[in-house]
Amino acid sequence: MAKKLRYALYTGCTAKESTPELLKSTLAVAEKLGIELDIIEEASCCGASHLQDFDDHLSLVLNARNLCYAESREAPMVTLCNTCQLNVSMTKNRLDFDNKLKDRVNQDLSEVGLEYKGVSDVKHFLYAILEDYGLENLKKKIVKPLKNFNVAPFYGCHNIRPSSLHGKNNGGENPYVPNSLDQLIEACGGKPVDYEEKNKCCGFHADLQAPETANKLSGNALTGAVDADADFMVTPCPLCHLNLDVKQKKAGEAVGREVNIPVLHLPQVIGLALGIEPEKLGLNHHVVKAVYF
Amino acid sequence: MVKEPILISATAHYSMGGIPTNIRGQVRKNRDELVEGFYAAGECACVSVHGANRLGANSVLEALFFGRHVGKEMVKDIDNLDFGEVSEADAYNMVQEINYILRNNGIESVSKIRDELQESMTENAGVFRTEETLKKQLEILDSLRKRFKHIRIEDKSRLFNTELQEAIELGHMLDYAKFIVEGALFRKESRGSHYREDYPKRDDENFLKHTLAYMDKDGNISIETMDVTLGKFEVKERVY
Amino acid sequence: MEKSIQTKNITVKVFRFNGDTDVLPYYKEYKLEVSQEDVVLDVLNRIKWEHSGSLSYRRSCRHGICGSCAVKVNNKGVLACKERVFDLIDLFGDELVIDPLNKQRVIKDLVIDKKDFWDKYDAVQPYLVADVEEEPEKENLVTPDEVEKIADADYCIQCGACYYSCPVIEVNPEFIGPAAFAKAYRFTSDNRDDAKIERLETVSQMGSGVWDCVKCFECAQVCPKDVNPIDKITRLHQQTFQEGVAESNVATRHAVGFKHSIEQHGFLDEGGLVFYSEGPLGMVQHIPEAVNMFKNGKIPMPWNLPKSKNLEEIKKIVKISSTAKF
Ligand SMILES: Cc1cc2nc3c(=O)[nH]c(=O)nc-3n(C[C@H](O)[C@H](O)[C@H](O)COP(=O)(O)OP(=O)(O)OC[C@H]3O[C@@H](n4cnc5c(N)ncnc54)[C@H](O)[C@@H]3O)c2cc1C
Ligand code: SF4
Ligand code: SF4
Ligand code: FES
Repeated sequence: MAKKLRYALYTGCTAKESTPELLKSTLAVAEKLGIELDIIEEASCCGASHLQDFDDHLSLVLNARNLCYAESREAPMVTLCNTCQLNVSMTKNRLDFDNKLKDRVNQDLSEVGLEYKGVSDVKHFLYAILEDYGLENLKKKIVKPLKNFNVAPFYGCHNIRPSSLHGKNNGGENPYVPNSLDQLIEACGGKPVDYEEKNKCCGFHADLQAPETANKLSGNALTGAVDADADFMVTPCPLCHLNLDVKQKKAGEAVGREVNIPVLHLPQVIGLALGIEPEKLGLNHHVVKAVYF
Repeated sequence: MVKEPILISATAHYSMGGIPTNIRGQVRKNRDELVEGFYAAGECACVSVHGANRLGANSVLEALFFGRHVGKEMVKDIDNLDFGEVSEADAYNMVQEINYILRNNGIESVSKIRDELQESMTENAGVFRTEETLKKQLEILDSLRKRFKHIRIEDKSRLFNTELQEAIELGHMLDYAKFIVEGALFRKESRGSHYREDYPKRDDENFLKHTLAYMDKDGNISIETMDVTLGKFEVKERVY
Repeated sequence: MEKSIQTKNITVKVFRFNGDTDVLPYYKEYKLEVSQEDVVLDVLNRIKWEHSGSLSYRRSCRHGICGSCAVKVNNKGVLACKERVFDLIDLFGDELVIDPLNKQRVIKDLVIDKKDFWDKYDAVQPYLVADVEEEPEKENLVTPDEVEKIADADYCIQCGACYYSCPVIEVNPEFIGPAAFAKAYRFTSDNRDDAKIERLETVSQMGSGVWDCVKCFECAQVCPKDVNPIDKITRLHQQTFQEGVAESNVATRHAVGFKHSIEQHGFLDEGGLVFYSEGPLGMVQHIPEAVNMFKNGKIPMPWNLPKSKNLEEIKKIVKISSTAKF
């Protein structure tokens, strides 16, 4: 590789709290691959699409502020969560295409001495690996290929839809037949399995008010993966992970099945194939243990 | 820049003329009489506000204004109208028309006849027409009408039968095409969207008139004319 | 670069079912040569006109304005008269499977019963409610800024592609759905309309309303007219707060709780947020998961809660940039 990759890491909340294994494994993988991740410690929550329901302007300013801290690091922002990716890039998109709006937001930001310029891209870690690091380069570093494992990719919504927003930062992933995770699984030596729910929704954002809906959607995804003979699932989104792992029992019950399938975070899968010890990848934090590793 | 061929085809944008009505939307039976209890408004009607051409965006007048106006006129009339007599035979005719298509075991295909109708009408009776092309089209129409009697459709079911619908519509299109061609033959001048290459000038002396056309049971058309009420505006050439 | 018209050979599998005569649906396969300019409707027409006249599907305008021809191709909702076959071949290869929008609601082949769609559409009063003068003296002026608010909500042609792609509709038959929400927004954002509050009350009902949307963006992705229903749903959420229609419940407290959490910590206090949203009683149902999470180190202790650096700055932003109240 010509130049060392360097990103401003926007962790989001979940990777710091209920899925600490995500942050841990991301940092471990980055270190192993020689990718520099400069954590934006000044950042705030992205609003997770819920603050957006309440106060559009506030969520714009907060996200623009987070972007300012990527800009001041002179690096593209990398995200670990599909919903962070959505909210940050939606903010960026709106500000970059609407000068009036940008001025309004910058007026507020100037009160704290910041200015959003629009010079930092924002990308999910999945696509940073795929597009910037490159699968061929990754393959060269694989020492423990996940041979004999059937792996069910679970894409999550906010990395692939709407493609009009994500297209330029996710390699033009097709939301109807996404294949980035499939490719990554293959690069790590595993066998991606195909199932109908792989690009469907886990229901996370209605968990509190409509648990039946959320559980059924997660349940469908889990049973879809099980029925496709998957040994475990992998997702780039910690919110999907919460629904599929922590709430697995309820989700199974909602569709009348008992399911028991480990769900791994994307960097954990890469990490395992790179030969990083499972503890360093935080596999012990999962509710459904990945007993194979 | 990539240059790619794109498909361009003619499409019907508005149908000028139509069911003749008076200003209250009552349908005319002929020059002097009305059909009691029968009203028309909108694109299907010809209340004669547009002349021989309709300017772009002006169907608002036909559709919105006359839709409302005629509706109000109908409300005024309705208390004084009785239901007309409906005979069993009339109903039987309708059922027969449908059953004929459902049961007919011919060799002709609806879509083929329709294709030939569309192509030949565009070719011979489009905006630019001559006596020669129109006469040729009359012959084509006669042969298509004969072939229509020998159609066969695959869908015999009574459920959402769009093939039956297309067949019924084709029958109506064949009738309607004949009105268009005979009307165009009769009008030996050019006016509005009717352009006779063999009579390129407007001829107010002979043709500042409405065409009223009637079809008999055997599909023959007869034509009479009706005067145009000119009102405030003088007839002018469209120069754009 | 000059190109001539290309053609490709494809296999099309079409969902067939006649409720009058068939016991089970089946797929019928057709091999066709398609050209660059063909749309899905051309393929259906060719099958109907050249191979099987009984194939049934809805279509009318054939230029993307009547909304009757929506179907699914390899599970992607499309407007048959707008979607180019070559684009689909690029996505899915040379075997295309054409399905009705919803297989459970099939009347015949690709024709479905859209009654559920229309019933919910009716529920939002999809028309202007206003005391219109019978004989107005002048036009009812609407400024460009006011039109801007309605945005693309007005372009909906009721094709149903979003509704029958929405995962919530599949599991919650009460859910009003994206198209009707977009229509509701079209009128709640119209300054001439008098039924704003009533509509906002309808769309904010728990179980059927906007709070039950899972934000999957399927509707935004599929819409052939770029109506972007989820964007309109977000704006409806905001309007319920702006107009004082939002009631205090788990969903609204959840949305507002983000603000409080950000103000206090910068990041979310996830446990605190759930507590704030659910209240002490509602919290009970989360205990089994909470225990599991705690055991697996997924719940940081209060003294370990992550806090943003520059928290003062965030507090200041929350103070000056807040525009909504609850
Ligand atoms: C592509 C296109 C663009 C146009 N653009 C413009 C424009 O920009 N400005 C403009 O002014 N005009 C425009 N026009 C013309 C204008 O739209 C039409 O003239 C107008 O909409 C006609 O309205 P209508 O109500 O009279 O008839 P229609 O809208 O055609 O309504 C007829 C109704 O009758 C129903 N029907 C038919 N048969 C039966 C039956 N047997 N039983 C029961 N119901 C039946 C049909 O389903 C339909 O709903 C355009 C037309 C086209 C095709
Ligand atoms: S975003 Fe909401 S309304 Fe749109 S498809 Fe998903 S759940 Fe349905
Ligand atoms: S919002 Fe779009 S997809 Fe949904 S019904 Fe309207 S036009 Fe169709
Ligand atoms: S036929 Fe009217 S939208 Fe496709």
